[in-house]
Amino acid sequence: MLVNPYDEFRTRIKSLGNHNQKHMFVIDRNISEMKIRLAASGSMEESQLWLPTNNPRYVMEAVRSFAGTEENRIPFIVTYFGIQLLQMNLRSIDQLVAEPVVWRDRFRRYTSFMIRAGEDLRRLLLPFMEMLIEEYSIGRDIPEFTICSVGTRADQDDLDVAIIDSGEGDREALDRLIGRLSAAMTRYAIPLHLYLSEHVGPKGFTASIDDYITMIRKHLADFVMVSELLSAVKILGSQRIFEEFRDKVIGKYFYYEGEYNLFCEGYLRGMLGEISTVIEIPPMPESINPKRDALRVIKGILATKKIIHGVRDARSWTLARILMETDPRRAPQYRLLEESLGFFEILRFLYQLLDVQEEEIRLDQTYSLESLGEVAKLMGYRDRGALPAAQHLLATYYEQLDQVHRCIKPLLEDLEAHLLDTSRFTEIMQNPTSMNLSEEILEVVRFFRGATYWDDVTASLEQDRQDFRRRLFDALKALSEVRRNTLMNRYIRFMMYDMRYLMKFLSILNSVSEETGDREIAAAFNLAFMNELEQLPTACVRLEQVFDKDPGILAGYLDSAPEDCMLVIKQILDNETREKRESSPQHDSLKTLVQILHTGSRFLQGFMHRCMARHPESIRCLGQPEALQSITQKLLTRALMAIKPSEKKQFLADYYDLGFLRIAAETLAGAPIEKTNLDFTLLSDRHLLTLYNICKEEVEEEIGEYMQVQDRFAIYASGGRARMQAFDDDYDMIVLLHSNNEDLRMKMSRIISRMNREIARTGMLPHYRFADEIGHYILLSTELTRMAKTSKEADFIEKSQLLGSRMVIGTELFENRFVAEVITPYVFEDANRYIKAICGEIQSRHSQVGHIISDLDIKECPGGLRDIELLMLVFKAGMQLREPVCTELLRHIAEINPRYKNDSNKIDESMNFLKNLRDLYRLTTALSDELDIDHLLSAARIMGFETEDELLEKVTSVTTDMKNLVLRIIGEIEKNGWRIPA
Amino acid sequence: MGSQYEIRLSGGANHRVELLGKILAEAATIHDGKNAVPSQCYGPEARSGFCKAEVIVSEGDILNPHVRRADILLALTRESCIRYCVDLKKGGILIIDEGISISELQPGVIIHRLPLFEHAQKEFGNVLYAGFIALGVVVAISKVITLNAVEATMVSRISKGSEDAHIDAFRKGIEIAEEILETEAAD
Repeated sequence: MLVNPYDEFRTRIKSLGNHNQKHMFVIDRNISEMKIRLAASGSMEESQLWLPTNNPRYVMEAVRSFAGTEENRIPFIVTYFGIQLLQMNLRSIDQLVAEPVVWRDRFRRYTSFMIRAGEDLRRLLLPFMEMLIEEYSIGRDIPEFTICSVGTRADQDDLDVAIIDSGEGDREALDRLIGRLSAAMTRYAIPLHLYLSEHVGPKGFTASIDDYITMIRKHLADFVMVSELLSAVKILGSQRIFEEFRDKVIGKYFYYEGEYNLFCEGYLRGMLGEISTVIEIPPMPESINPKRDALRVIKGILATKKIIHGVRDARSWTLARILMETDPRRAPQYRLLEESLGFFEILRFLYQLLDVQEEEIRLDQTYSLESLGEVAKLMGYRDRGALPAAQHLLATYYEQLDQVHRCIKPLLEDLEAHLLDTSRFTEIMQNPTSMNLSEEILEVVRFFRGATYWDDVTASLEQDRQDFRRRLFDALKALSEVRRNTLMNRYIRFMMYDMRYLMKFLSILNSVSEETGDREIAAAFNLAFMNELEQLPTACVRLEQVFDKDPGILAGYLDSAPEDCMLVIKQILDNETREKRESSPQHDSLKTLVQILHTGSRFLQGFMHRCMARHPESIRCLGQPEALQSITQKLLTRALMAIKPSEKKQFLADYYDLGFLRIAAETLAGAPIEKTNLDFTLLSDRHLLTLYNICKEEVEEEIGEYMQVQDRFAIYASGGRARMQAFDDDYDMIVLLHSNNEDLRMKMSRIISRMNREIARTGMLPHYRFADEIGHYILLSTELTRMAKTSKEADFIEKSQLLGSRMVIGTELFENRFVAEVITPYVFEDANRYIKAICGEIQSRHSQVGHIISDLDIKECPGGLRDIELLMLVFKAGMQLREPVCTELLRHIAEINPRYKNDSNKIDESMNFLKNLRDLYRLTTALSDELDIDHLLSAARIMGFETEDELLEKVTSVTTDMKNLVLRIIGEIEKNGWRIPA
Repeated sequence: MGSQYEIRLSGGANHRVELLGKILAEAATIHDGKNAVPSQCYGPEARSGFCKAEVIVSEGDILNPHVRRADILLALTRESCIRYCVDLKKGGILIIDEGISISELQPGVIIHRLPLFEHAQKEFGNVLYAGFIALGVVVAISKVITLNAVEATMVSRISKGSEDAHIDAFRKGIEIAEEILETEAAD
C-alpha cells in the first residue's frame, strides 16, 4: 500500500495540542484544490509540500505561481505555511525523541533547542508575511515602514511586533494593509500583538518615530513597554527606518556616562520595583507559570544590565553571554541565569506545543498533569521510584526558581548602587541649584511617575542624608501657601502609583514634623493624600494591596497619620464592606488594624506597636485568628528551640504580644467572653511556664547545678489571673518553696528575678504576694504557715489571696499539700470567721459608694465584680472548693446546692456581662474599671448597644440586681450563723 | 452588527480572559469568515491583578486595533469593572458576576448580573470554568460570532481531555443568556 503523506500528517498532528487544529482546518479546506493545481502546473512535486525546506520563500513563490487565479493565491500560501509550521512543530518533537536529552548536558541542550526553534519559526514567518504584504498591497503610496519583533522568537501563541513608519505618504493605506495582514495572521497563522502600537495613540496599527518619541516621554515608567522596545529586532521592511528607530528611540534608554540619563533611570526604577516585588511572591500551590514566575524577571534583569553596560544585542541568549564578559564580576550569575532561561523557555514552549497556548499550567487538573508528563519526558526526565517524570520536573522547576532569585539579588543590589551613584535625585542633593529643592524633587517625581522604586529617596529622608529633612522643609516653607498646596497635590498625584512609597514618605514626614514643629506642612500633605484617595474608585483595593504587600508600611502610616486620615480610611473600608458580599481576609485584617489604631486604648496599642516593630508581616493576619494562632505557635516553638537565652526570651515575649493581640482582635470582633478568658489564661499560663523553664535553665547553666525542685516549688497566680480574667496589666503571684533550705531559696530567687525583668518588659507589673512581709520573692512553707497562724484584724485579705489562688507552675502533690497544710486549717476549718469577715467587708464597701467608690466603677461598685468575687469566695470557703472564681465554680456550687442554681445562673450572666464590658473598655479606652461616659461608644457598639446610654442603663440594671442578690444571700448566711444554708 | 463590534473581556490574572479573547477572534475569522483583531493587556497594570483581552470584529477592514468604546464588557472582578466600564458605549452591555457590586455607572448601560462563579463551582466543581460560562453569555447576547464557530474554536484551543467540560460550561452560559433574552423580549 502506498504511503499517503497527507493521512500520515493528519494522524501525527493529533499528538500536538488542540490549537494546531486551526491550521488543519485551513489545510483541509484547500489541499484538494491545491493538489489538482499542482499536478496541472507540473512546476513542483507534491512531496515538496510535505518536506521541510531551507528556502521557504522559494517554495512559497512556486505555490503562488501554480495557484493561478487571484482568489487561490492567499489560500494556497496560507495552506503551505500551515503545513510547514506543523511539520516544523513535529520535527521539534522528533528531534527530542530521536536524540534524547543527555542529563549532564541538558541545560545546554535546552538553550540550543530554543535558539533553533526561534530561528526556524522566523525563517518561515518572514517570507510568509512578506508575501501577504505583497498580496494585500493596493499600489498606493504607502510610507516606508519596518516591522520589528519585540517578543520571544519561538512564541507561537502570538507575535509581539512594533510597526514603525516614516510618517510620510498615505499612512491610512499602510494601516489598511497592516489591518489586513493582522486579520490574516489571526486567521491563518500567529496573531500579531501590537502592545506598543496600543500605547502610541489611537491612530492605528503603525506609528512614526516621532510618535514613539512622544509616547516614551508620556509612558516613561511603563517598564513593560520599554522592555519590548529594548528587545526589538527587525523582521522585515526598511532597514533605514529600523536603524533610525534604534538610534532615536531605543538608544535613549542606554546609560551614557557624564550625561543625564533620565530614560535609563526611569526604566531602572520601574524594573527594580517590578523585579523586587515579583521575586518576593511565593509560587502558587495550584499552578506553575514559567513566564510569570521566572522568564519576565530573567529577561528584565538582563535588559537593565544591557542598558547600563551598553550591550546593543536584543536577544536574551546572546545578551547573557555578552554580559559575562562586560560585567565579569557577575559572570557566575549570568551563567546560571542563562541555564534557567533555557529551562523555563523550553518547558513553556513544549507545554504550549503539546497542550494549550496558555501561560498557566494547572497542577490540580489531570489533563494538564498528563501533558506536563509528556513535556518532562521530552526534557529528559524519567519516571523514577515512586515519582513520575512530571514530579521530578516540578522539583527542578522550584530549584531553578530559587536559583533565579539567588542570582537576581546581587544584580538588583548592583542596580540600586548604580542608581544611588547616578540618579537625578542624587545629583540634586549633591549639587544644589538656585531652584527650590521641593520643586526640583517634584520634577524628578513627575518625570518618573509610575515608577515603583523610590527606596533611595525614602532612605535619604529616613536617614537624613545630606541634611535632607531640614532642606526639604525649608524649601517647602519658602513657597507661598498657594504654590505649596499645588505642589503637594502634585507630589501626591505622581506618587499615588505606588502607594507604599507614598505612605512611607508621609510616615517619615509625619514623624519628622513632630520633631521639627512643621506639623502644618505634614498635615497638608496628608490632607492632599486623603482627597486623592477619596476620589479613587479602587481606593479600598489599593489599600488592601499595600497592606498585603507590606503591612508594616501601612500600619506605620496609620500610626503616624492625623486622626482625620484614619477616619477617611476607615470610611473607605466600611463602605467597601457594605458593598461587597464577601470580604477578603486582607480586608478583615486591615479593618481590624484600623480599628485598633483608631479606637484602641493605649494599652492595646502598646502591644500593636511591639508587634508592628518585631513581626510586621503578622499584622497581615489580624482578622484571621487561625492564621495568627499559627504564627504565635511558631514563635513559641522558636522560643523553645533558640540557642541563646536572650533569643529565647525575645521570642517568648513576641509570643505573648502577638497572642495578646490575637485575643484582643477576636474580642473586639465580638468573641464570647468565655472564649476570651480561656484563650487568655492559656496564653498567660504557657508564657509564665515557658519563661520559668528558660530562666531556670539559664541560672542552672550559670551556677553549674541542676535544681531538682519538682514537688517542692510552685507559682500560684492570684488576683485577676487566678480568676482567669483577660487583659490584666499586672500579674499577682504567690511563689512558694516547700523547703527550709535558704541556699535553695536564693538560687530560685535568681530565677524569679529574671522572670520579673522579662514580665515587666511585656508591659505587665508583677506583684509578689507576701514578699514585702518576708523580704523575698519566694515564701517558704514554714513562713506561710507561721503567717497564716497569726491572727490579725484584716487577715481575711491574705486568706482570700490564698483561697483565690490558682496553681500555674507546680505539681499535684504540691497542690494537695498546700490545701492540706494551709488552705484547710486556716481557711476551710475557720470558714465561719472568714465568711463573716468577707460579708462585713461587702457591707462596708456598699456604704462607701458616692464618696470613695464611684457608681461607674464596675469592679468596686455595689453589685460589681468585687462583690461577685467576694461572694464566690464565701461559697468556696463554706463549701471547701478550690476551683478558680469563674463560671465552672458557679456550676459546681449549683450542683452541690441546687437552691443556688438560679442565683448561680444569674451571677454567671452578670459576671460575664461586666467582665466583657471591662475587657472591651480596657481594649478601647483605658486600663480603668471606672467608666468614662464620653468614651464608651466603641465598647457599647461591640456589645450590641446603639448608644452609651443604653449600655449604662444595662450596667445599672445588672449591678442593682447583683447588689440585691448579694445582700439577700449574705442575709441568709448571717441568719444561718455565718454558714452556707444547706 | 454595525461596521465593527468591540468586545472587552476583563478580570483577574487567573480568569483566563486572554484565552477567551483568542477564541473569539479565531472563531470570528476562521469559522465565520469575518475580520477580527485581538489584543491583550499585559502592561504594568496587568501585574497588579488586572487582566484584559479585547477583540474587534468587523465584516470589513479594521483600521485601528484599539477598542475605544466597547459594545460589550465582561468584568469578572469588581476592580476590572470599575476600571473598564467607563469605556462602555451608550447602550453598551455590562456582564458581571452577581457577587460584584458597584455603586455608580454611567447612564444608558445595560447590566446583567449573573451567578457565573456560583454555577462554575456548583456545576463544574471549579471556578476556573466561570470564564467559559461568561463566554457563552457574551457570545449569545452579542450575536456577533456564531455559537458553532466558538465551539469549533474552543475544541482547538483548550487542553485535550478537558474539551467536554469547557463546552458544557460554554453552553451553560448560552442557556443563561437565552433566559435573559426571553425575559427582555417578554418585557
